[in-house]
Amino acid sequence: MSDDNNRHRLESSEGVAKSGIDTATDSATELDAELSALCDGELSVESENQLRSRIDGDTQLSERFAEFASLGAELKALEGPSVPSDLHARLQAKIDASDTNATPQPAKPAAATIRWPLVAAMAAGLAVVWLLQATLQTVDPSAPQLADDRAIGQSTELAVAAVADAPTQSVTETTSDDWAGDLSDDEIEIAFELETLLDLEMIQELDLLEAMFALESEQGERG
Amino acid sequence: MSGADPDAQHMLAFCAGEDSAFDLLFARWSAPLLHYLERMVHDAATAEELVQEAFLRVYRARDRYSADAKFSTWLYRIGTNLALNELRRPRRARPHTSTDADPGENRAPLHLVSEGQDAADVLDTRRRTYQLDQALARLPERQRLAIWLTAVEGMSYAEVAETLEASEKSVKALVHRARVALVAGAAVDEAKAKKVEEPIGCKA
Repeated sequence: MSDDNNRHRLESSEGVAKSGIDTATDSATELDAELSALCDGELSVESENQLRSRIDGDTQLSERFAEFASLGAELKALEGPSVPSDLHARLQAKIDASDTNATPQPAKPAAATIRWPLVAAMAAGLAVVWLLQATLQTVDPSAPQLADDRAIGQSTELAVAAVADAPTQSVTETTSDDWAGDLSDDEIEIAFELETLLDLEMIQELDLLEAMFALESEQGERG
Repeated sequence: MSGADPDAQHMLAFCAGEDSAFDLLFARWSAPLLHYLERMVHDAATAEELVQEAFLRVYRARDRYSADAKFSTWLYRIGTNLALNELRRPRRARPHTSTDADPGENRAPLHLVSEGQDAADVLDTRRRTYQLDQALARLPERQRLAIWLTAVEGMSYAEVAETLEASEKSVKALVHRARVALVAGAAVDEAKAKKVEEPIGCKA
């Protein structure tokens, strides 16, 4: 029993001693932290006055405070890189690039410029093909494949091929002196348009237009 | 807040369309920010890029800026986040801290010692500066940020807390640890230097 008491007493005294050391350490660390805060002007007036009184009466504390206090000046004295003279210009270039990217731009203006005339030309060409059939039927009922309704429903490729064949005949037909007498106003207009297109060599470009149109459609589907 | 902070006033003027105010802010803050960021990333070229990026963000924020805090606190927070992101990039090479490296690299050139100065004093000062430089570089990031912002930039703990997105209590602890480490680190380096200087065969 006495052994137990002694052990208990010993443990208690060790605990007190250990606790005392911890408290002292904590207190020293806290005091050190207060010195640091004093350097930064972060203490209240009351705390600052108390701490300064302690510093005045304690050489070690005074030396420690001096070490901390001198650090600020030494850190400020560390040389840094000088600002390059072109840094502002480089920043301005980045800002300009940023502004350019941020401004909404019309999507592919060049493509947009090209697309509509192409589509219009394509549509006009196909319309001419379709209307030409009726014209040729009137002008020359014996005209070959163009008179065949199947040509309308066939692929564009066939239609383009038909157009390539047709002008020679139709122009021959429509440029005769009497065509005006035989054709209605609409047919005359169509024939005239066809001739104009031929003059502009647009009909010959139909296969190219078709290819471009198909390509654009394909791109549109991907987009 | 903006009423007491002239930089915030400049920023508000810039937001109102006065472009020259942005130039004023750049002229005022580019050098200290560059110095701060160079201390963080240990590379002048990278620090320059980060300064540009920070001011680019300031420029872009002109439509939504509100002067809730000091301009400098806001700017340094942007810079700090950029620097921390830079330091966390996996492909970033760690800075070489060889003692053979020139501590004044990318900095102002060394000047010859003037006649009025004692050469030994100048060398001591330079050595001390170099040791402090090395000790600063060895600090953990947040301690380095905290001590720099407090001791060099003169920010309050509250401002540093806002910049680092930490509590004031944490900042107080970070600054204190940094001071202790810098004093101890510089002291160790000083002791090493003196040991090297001791003539062979002599004992103190």
